[in-house]
Amino acid sequence: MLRFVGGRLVQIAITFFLFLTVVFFLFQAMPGDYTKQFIMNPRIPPAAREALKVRLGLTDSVWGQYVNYVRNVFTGNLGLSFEHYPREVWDVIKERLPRTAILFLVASVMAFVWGFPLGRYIAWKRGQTLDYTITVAGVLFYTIFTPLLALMLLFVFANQLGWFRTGGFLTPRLWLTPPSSPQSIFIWLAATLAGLGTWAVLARFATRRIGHPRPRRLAQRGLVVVGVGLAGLGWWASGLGPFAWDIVWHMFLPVLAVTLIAFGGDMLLMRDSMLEVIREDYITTAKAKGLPDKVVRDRHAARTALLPLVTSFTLSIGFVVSGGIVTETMFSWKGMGLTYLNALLIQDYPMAMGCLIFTGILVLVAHLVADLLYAVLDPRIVY
Amino acid sequence: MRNRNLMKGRKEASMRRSVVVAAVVLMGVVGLGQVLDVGIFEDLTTTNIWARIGPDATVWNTYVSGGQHGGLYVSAAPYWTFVPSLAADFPSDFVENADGTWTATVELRAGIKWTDGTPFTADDVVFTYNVLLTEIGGGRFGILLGGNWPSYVPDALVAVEKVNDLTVAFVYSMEPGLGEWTFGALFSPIVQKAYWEPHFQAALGTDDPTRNLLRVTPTGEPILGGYQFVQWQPGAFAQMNKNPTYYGTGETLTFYEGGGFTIANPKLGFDLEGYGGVTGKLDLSLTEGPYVDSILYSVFLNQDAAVLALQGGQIATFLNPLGLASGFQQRLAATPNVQIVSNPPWGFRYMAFNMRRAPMDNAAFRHAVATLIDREFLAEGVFQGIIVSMYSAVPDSNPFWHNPNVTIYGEGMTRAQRVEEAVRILKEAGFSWDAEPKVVFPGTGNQAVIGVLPDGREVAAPRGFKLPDGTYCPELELLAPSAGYDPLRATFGLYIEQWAREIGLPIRANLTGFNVIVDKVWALDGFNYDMYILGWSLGNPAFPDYLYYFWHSDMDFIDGWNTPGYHNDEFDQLASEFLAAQSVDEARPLVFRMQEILADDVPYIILFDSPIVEAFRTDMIQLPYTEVLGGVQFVWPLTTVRALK
Repeated sequence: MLRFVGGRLVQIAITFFLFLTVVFFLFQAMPGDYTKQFIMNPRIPPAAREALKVRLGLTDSVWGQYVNYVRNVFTGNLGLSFEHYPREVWDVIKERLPRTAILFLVASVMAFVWGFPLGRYIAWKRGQTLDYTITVAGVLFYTIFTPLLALMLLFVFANQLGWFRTGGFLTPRLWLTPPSSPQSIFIWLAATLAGLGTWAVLARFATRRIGHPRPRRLAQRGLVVVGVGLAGLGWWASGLGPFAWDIVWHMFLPVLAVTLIAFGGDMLLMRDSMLEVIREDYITTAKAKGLPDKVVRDRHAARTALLPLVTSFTLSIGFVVSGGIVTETMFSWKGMGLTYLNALLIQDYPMAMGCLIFTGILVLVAHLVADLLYAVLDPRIVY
Repeated sequence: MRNRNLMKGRKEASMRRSVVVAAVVLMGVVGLGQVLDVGIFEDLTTTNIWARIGPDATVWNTYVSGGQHGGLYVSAAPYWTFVPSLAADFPSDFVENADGTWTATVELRAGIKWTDGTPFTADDVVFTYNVLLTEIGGGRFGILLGGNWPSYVPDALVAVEKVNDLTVAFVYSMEPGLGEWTFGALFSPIVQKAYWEPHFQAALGTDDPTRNLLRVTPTGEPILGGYQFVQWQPGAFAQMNKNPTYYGTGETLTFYEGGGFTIANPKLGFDLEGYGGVTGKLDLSLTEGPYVDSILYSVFLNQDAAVLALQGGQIATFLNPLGLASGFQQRLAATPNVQIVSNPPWGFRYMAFNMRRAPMDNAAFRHAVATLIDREFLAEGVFQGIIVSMYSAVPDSNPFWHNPNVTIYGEGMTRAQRVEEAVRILKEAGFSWDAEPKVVFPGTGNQAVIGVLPDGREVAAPRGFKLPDGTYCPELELLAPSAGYDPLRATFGLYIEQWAREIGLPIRANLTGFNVIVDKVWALDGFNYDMYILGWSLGNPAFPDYLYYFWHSDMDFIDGWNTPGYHNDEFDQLASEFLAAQSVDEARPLVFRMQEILADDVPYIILFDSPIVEAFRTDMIQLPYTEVLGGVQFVWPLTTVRALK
C-alpha cells in the first residue's frame, strides 16, 4: 500500500508540473495582456503603461516569466494579482476560498446524502411508478439550465415570498459593527461542520455494540442531536451566532440550487450502478440464503454499487474550490469560480493561474483519495 | 465547588458577552439613521486613494469612494460647469517669470477642516502635488502610479509651492492651456499631508516605492469629501457614512439660464459668483447635504438578481455604467414605485479605418462606406430605438461642444440612392469594377443590386472591384466584437459587410473577442488591421480633449491612440491650439472646426451609442435631478441625494 501511495505521489508531482506548464503557456497564447485594458483610457500616457508592464514583469521574455513562475509556485509564492495590485494572489484566494468551499462542500455532501439512498431505493424498486417518478425528477434537475433554476428559486423564495435576500452572503445592515470578519466566521462554520461530521462518525462507532437496530439508531440520532445542540450553544455563547446564522440563511438558496442539480446526478449514478450489481450472482446467492431484502440491498448490493459514486463524490470535493461560475454569479456569491472567470477575462494571469493551481492540487489529491477509498470499500481491490 | 463557581462565572461572562454583542448589533441596526441601499455589480478592489485613481481606477471604486477626497475645482453636474470647490475663487491668470516659467496662484477657502478636526491648508495641496512630481527611478511618481494620476501632473507642470497657508502657486515651464491646467492639474484629489507623509516617506525608503505606497491600507484616513469610507466586507458590501464636518454642508449652488452660477456657503461664510452670476432666470438650485447617514453598496453579480432586489425594495437603485438592459426596463416599468430614467450617453461606438493601407487611405473609399451605412435603418428598424445614431465626433448630447453642421453621408437617402451615391463616389475617384453595380427595381420589393459587364451584359452581382491603380482590391477585414460581447456592434459589423458586398466591396466582418481586436489594433509591431469597430467613453464632458488624443498626428505611434494613422495639418494645428486655449470660448470654435474636418476626412465613422437607462425606487430615494449626460451613475456619489426610508 505504501509503495502504491509513494508511486502515486510521484505521478501526482509529474502531472502537476506538466499541468503548470500547460496552464502557463495556454495563458501566454491568449491575445493581449493586462495593460491593454488601459489603452481604452487616452489620458494614460504610454510611459505609465510601460511602467505598469515593468512592474508586473510583463517585459521579461516568456521563458524568463516561465522560470520565475515555476520557481515561485514551488516556493509557495503565487505572485501578485494584476487586478488587485499590489495584493498577493494567495491573499485574494484566502479571502474567497472559505466561502466557496463551504457552499459547495455542503451542497456536495447534501447531494450525496440524498442521492445515495434514493438511488439505492429506486433501483431496488425498479420498474415501479416510484422509480419512474423519481428518475424523471432526477433527470429534470440534472439537466435543468442552472441560471433558470437559480432565477426561479430567487423569484419564488426571495422576490415573492420574501424569505431570503436576492443575493450575497450577508445582510449589510447586520454587519455594520461586526465582531469578526465574515472570512473567520466561514472558517469557524467549516470547522463546526467538520466537527459535527466527526461527531456523527464517533456516534456511530460508539453505538455499534447496541444489538437491536431501533435503539441503536435512536442512540445515534440522539448523539447527533446533542452534538448539533452543543455546536449551537457554542455559537450562541461566542456572540457570533447571529452573524453565523445570517451566513447560513444566505447559503440556503445557493445550496439548494447546487444540491438539486448535483443530487440528480448522484442519484442516477447510484441507480445505474445498483442495477448492474443486483444482476450479479452473489446477490442471487444472498437472496437464496434467505437474507432479508434490506440486508441484501444495503450490505451486499449497495456497498459494491457505491464505488463509482464514491469516485464521483471524491472528485467533486476536489473541484469544490473551483466553485461554480453560474451559481456564484446568480446568487452574488463572490468566490473562487468568479474570481477565476474574471481573472481570465481581464488577463490577470497570476490570479487565474493561482485559482487553477489550487484546483489542480486538490483534484490530484482527490484522485489519490478515491483510489485509497476503493481499497477500503471493496475487499477485492488490493494495492 | 471552586471549579463549579469558575464554570458558572465563565458561563455568565459568556452570556453577558452574548447579550452585549446582540445589543451592539441591535443598536447598529436601529441607530443607523437614514440609510440608502445601493447595488453595484463588481466588488471594490482597493480603498487606497493612490491605487483608486491609479491602477485600480475602476468605475466601481469610483462609485463607492469617489466622493471622499475633495479637489480644488470640480465639473459641477448636471451641466459640467467648472466651479471652485476647495478653492476660494477661479485661479489667477498666468504670469511669466524671469526664468521663462509661468506661475498662477489658487486661493483656498478658509475654515475647511479635515475629519480629524485639523485645518485644511496649502501644505496639503503642495504635499499632494509634490508626491506626484517626485522623481524616482523611472520617472515621476504621478506617471508611475498610472491610472488617472498622469493627467494631474502634465509634463509642463514643474512645481507647486506654498505662498501662504491659503495660497498655492503652480509653476509651469510654458503657459499651459485648458487641457493641462483647468481640466488637468486643477482636478487632482487632495490628500492630507499629516496622514500620508509618513506612508510616503516609508515607501520612498524601499526598493519599490510605488508598490509600497499602493499597498497601504488606509485606516481612519482624514478626508474632506461628503462621504467617508467606513468599512468594506470583500465580496459583500461597502459602507460610506456622511462626513459630519463636511465643509460643503448647507452650501447652495445655483445655476442660471444665462450660464452663470452662484455659490452661497453659510457655514464658511463664503459666497461666489461665476460666469456673470445671476444671469437670467434661475435654472437649478442645489443645496448640499449629505442628507443620508449611511450608504450601503451591496455587490450583486448579475442584473437579474439586482432587478429582483429593486423590485422587492431591498435596494433603492443600482449603479451600472452600461445602464439597464431593455428586457429589464420592460419588467421594471410595470413595478410600482420604480422610476425609469433615460439619459444620453457620453461616448460613441465607431468604425475606424487603417489609413496606412489601401484603399482605406483613399477618402473616397471611406466616404463611400460611410454613405452605405444606414444608421437610421438599424436604429429604428432593427434595434427598435434602443440606440441613437451619431454623426459627429462630439455627441449631440453635449450641445456646447457639438457641431450639428457636419457632413452626414447618405442623409435622407433610400437604400437604392445610397448604393448609387457610393458607386458614384468610387467611380469619380478612379475605382472600377469588372461588373459594375446597378440597382434594379428600386423602391420595390424586388430591389436588388446586379453587376453590369463592360459589354452591357448583366450578371447576378457586381464583381472585380479594382483600386484606382487598376489592381484588384484584396479582401478587407472588418474586426468587430462578437455578439456575446456586444450584439449591437456585432450587428453593425454584419450589416456593413452585407452593404459593402452588395456593391462588390470585398469587406468581411470578423466577429471576434475584444482582446483579439485590441491586440491587432495596438499590435506590438504596428497597427495590424484594415477596419475595426469599437467604442469610447469620453471622459470629462466639460472639455473634449480626446479630439487631440484620438486624431492628432503626434498620437500616431505604436500603442498610441491615433489608430487610423490620421494626419491632417490643419486638424493638428487646431487640436494643438485647442489644448493650449485659455478659455472655453476660445476653444469652442476650434472644436467645431475639428468636427467638420473629421466628418470630411472620415478617419472614424461615428456610428451610434445607446442611452443610459437607470431605475430608482421613488419610495426610497430622492434625486436632485435626473437629466444628466451619461446618467446619474456618471455623477455618483451625490451629496444632494436623499433617502426616503
